[in-house]
Amino acid sequence: MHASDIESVSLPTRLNEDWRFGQPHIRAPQLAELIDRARQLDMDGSALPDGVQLEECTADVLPTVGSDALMQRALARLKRGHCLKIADGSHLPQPIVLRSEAHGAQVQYLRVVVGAGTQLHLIEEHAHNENSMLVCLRHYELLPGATLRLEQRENGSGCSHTLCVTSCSCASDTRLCLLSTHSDFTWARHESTLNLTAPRAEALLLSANRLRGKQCLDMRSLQLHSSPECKSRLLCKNVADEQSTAIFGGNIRVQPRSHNTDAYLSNLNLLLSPHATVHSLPMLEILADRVRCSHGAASAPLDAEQLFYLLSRGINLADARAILSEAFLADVRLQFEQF
Amino acid sequence: MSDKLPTVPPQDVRGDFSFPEQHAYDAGYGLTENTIDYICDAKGEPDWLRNFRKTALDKFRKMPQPLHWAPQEIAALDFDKIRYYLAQGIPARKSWDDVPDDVKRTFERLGVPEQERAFLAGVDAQYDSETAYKNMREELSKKGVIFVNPTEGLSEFESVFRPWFGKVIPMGDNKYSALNNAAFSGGSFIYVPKGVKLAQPLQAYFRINSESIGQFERTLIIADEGAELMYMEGCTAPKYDSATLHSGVVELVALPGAKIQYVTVQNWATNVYNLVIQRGLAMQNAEIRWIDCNIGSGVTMKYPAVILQGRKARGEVVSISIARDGQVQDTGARMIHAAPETTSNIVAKSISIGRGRASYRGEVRVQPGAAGCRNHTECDALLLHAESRTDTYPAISVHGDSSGVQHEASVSQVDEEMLFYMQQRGLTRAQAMSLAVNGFINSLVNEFPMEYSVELRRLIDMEMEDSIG
Repeated sequence: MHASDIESVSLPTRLNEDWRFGQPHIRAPQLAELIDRARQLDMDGSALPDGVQLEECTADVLPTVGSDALMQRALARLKRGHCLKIADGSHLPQPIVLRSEAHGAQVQYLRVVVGAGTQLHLIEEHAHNENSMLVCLRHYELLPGATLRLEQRENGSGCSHTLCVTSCSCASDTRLCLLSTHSDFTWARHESTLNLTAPRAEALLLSANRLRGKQCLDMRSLQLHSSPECKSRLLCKNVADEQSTAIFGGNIRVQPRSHNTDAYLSNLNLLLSPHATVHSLPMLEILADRVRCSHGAASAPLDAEQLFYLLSRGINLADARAILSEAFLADVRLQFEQF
Repeated sequence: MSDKLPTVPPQDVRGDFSFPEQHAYDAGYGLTENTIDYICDAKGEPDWLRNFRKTALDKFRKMPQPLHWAPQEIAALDFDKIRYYLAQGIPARKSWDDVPDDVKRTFERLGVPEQERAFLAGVDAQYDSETAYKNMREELSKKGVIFVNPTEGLSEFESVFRPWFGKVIPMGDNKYSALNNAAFSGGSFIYVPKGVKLAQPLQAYFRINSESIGQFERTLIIADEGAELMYMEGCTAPKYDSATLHSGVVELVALPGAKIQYVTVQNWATNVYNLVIQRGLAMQNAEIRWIDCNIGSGVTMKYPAVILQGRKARGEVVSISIARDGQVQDTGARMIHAAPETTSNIVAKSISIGRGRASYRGEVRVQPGAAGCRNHTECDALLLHAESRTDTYPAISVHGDSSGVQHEASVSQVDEEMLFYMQQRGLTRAQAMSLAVNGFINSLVNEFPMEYSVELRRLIDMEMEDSIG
């Protein structure tokens, strides 16, 4: 990509609704500066099972939720991307694990093609070193009849920053379950775009995060129903402690003629500190009738009765709070296991 | 309350009729310093108000249209093709007999005098830019209730109204508040003294008669400690080919323990841009309720707000909007919890018909330090056709670990089985659809005064006949 093309796409500003509450005027220039001197983060495909190939590929433009300019800059730093191909009809009993470690400012691109009728459990784990910044660009393509269980784990370390752009494209009769977790980073933004392109595609997007200190997690999602008879569910749970900030912006968009859509979006937040903040932006844009779409958002402190119950059983306050917040998040993991 | 119903014939429900213009004052097209001088001279306003208007004009020019979030249809609104002041140059009358014939016939066709006789404590009837008729029951004047237009309010009762004028909605709050501050004319300034509780509602009726006019009414209601009142406003206009603008500013101040209920039934013609800012300030133990119904206009942007400023203040918004073919109803609510133990409730229902677009846009914010607050928001949308559109854009911000906020929204359509059942019992499809739609909003319609709720149901029946029958 030419430098002039990058400059033509302006960085997100306060007028960008997809960055509402996300302080784009501060975050975006800082991130752009880091991206402009970032190196490519390579992947190791030597220990992959039969029928699975990791190849080099071109890094294509991905749909984002408000970060086009940052994505374009990240693409400009990449010489190439990686493509993980799983052959049609494969059944892999063990999960495939892709681990990478970020040092300094780095950019990574991965395209995953899950073959027709294939069942795959993929675990992606990023370890972020102190003072690292990682931009992950991900595209998952599910061919007809494919099933993908996907875990994205972002494990930060002290002062680390990450921008993760995930795009999922689901063909007919596919099943996708995505669980993303973020821990121990300073600032993380996760943008996911789900496009259900053919009938009977089904997706479950899950996220569970526990925030402490001055951490800021900014989650954005778009559930795009481009075809009739598709189903999507999203559940994002955050526990905000100390001075942390959790932002969630999710949109269900049902395109014209996508009848018999069934979509739901839920954002639940637990506030554990008088200095914690949560922002929730659950949205619906419905351009077709004969649909069932709804969303819910709730932000609340720990339930006083539950807390009292544990205290009355001799559990101290700190442990009781930890147990209840763990229980609050555990349900997300359970849903992933049961998919 | 009387059991007598308004006698507006069904064909007049839209108010789609007009009389020839007979204006003594016409400020012409566009808004400049000269227009403001013209308005100030016509109304005999003091210098401070002239300067106030000019400062607002400056802010209006500097602010862009909020196209980064608002419906894109507002981009077509050309502020230079709007007439900013049209008046007949006669003071508001207190008797219907003194009101000019064409104005009188307009309001009589809309049933205003009959409603006044039947169940109102006072009426303000605004015709284009100025109030044509204003009357209030004598016993209320004796209790110290003030019900005047802004010009009178800021001259004769300056000490009452000026301290709160522009304080709830500052002039630089947004482009449209700046526009209203620059060009405001007509509306109501109301003061209800301590402990006075109005048993009957006050009503304003806004009527646009002329083409390309901008109506910029200004309402300020102050309910002193322990006072209670209900205020209702209705709006109609004939349909013209050119755009008409209604850009009102409504400020409510509920002092400790006061209760204000503000009811709006908006039925503008589809060439009207209805860009209204409504915001209330609720002090300790005070309550503000906005009950809002939007049926008409081409584009509506209206988000009634309550700033819960005092401990245990309460806010509520009940909203119904119906978007027919080509209409954009961008409505919603805002609740700002700025004090501890404040509570709020939002219930919004919308119906999209044909290519209509109904959007809910809301904000609920619990500020730092506002402990023990509660909010519940519920918005439901009904889509009647394949091309209909509905959107929901809420923003919820909670600080601290002692407040609870819940939001839920759903989109659905009329159940085919339900329609089949009713048709099987002999109802036409339009009747069945009308019954189902009325059922969808029934719980909210009951919040309106009976005269309005009956009218609303009749309007929905007509809509269903037009679109389905």
